[in-house]
Amino acid sequence: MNTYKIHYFGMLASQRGLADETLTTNVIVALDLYQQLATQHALKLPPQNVRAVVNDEMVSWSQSLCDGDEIAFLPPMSGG
Amino acid sequence: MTAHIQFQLSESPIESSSLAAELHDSAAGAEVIFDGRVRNHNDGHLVERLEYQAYPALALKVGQQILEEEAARYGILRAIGVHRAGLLEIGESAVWVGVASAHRGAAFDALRTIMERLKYELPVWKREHYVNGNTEWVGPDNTSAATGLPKDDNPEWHAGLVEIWISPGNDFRGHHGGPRGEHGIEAVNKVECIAGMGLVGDRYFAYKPDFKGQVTFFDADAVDAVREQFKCPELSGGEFRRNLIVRGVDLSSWVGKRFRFQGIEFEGSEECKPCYWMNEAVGRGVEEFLRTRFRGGLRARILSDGMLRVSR
Repeated sequence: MNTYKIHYFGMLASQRGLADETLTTNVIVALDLYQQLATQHALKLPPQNVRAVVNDEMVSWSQSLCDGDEIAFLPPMSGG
Repeated sequence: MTAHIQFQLSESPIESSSLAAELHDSAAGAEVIFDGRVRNHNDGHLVERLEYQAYPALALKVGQQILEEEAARYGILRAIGVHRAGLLEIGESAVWVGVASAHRGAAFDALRTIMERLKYELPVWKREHYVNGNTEWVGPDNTSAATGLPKDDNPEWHAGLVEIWISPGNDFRGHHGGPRGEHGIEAVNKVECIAGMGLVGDRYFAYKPDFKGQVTFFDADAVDAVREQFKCPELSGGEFRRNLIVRGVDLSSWVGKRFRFQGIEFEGSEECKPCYWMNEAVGRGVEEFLRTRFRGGLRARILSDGMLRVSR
């Protein structure tokens, strides 16, 4: 089992109802983690509209995760 | 700040004059600055303030990378970018970018590219706070906040429905040269909209095919303005003989556009210009008063069926 710190931003934080949480799970791939959370918390954004970030680096959905990683899920950026 | 290429994220107001001074360079014949500010309206909604949520560690990295890549691409001598985070009031600077280069062409081009990239690549998220108290995450350039792509649906009005008025017959139209009709007008709590037809029970229901005025919207602020200007605080909103009195939407921006209100689809057709009956019905000068600032309201076609209800 790995423990991750998870951060949500923008509309994903609104849909999750919080911005940060700690989760212990046997999931070890970024996409699997997002899909587990999306199912559990009814997140409405499909993975193709979300960017995964591990320890402040953008990663691909196939990224494997390590115990203690900080993982962020980003909806489409909206600057300016 | 000493580096010539630098991106910052700021929780406090942007100090544009000190930033601009950082652009000066004896080799630069051109300095170009973009200052993006918070507007009081967007996509037809009246905006009260804007909120930017940022992912600071990543935003600094991405912003810096955008500036460095574009400075290298266009041969820019200095590039400074600042993006705000937190709550911003109308008129505040949300993003400030300045570039300096030997000649103007590169400076204009680089700045344009930097701005486009910041809007779509910088990990910040924009939330609009509307005059009526609602909030919504929004994408750049009115794209969908959920996909980052152009919206495929018509925007929903964030407006309150203050009153609904329906009248079984015309009191003014067709009564030119004679007395007004005596059909009266009735306030109701809900009304059924039928696409292409009108409001059930109203005089313009099934009036003619593709009629432009299947429903009329009137701004509650215009009712208030007439009550104040003509010293008639008790004036009924029904005297204007418009159907839907709404608050919190800029009606003038919806001519020729589609929108949803309480989930029902409409298309704004034209300004609902007042006629001289307004002077008889309400008082002298009201017609002229309503002819300014789009106070006469908006005529619209109904594109989908549904029930409109007065907001609680």
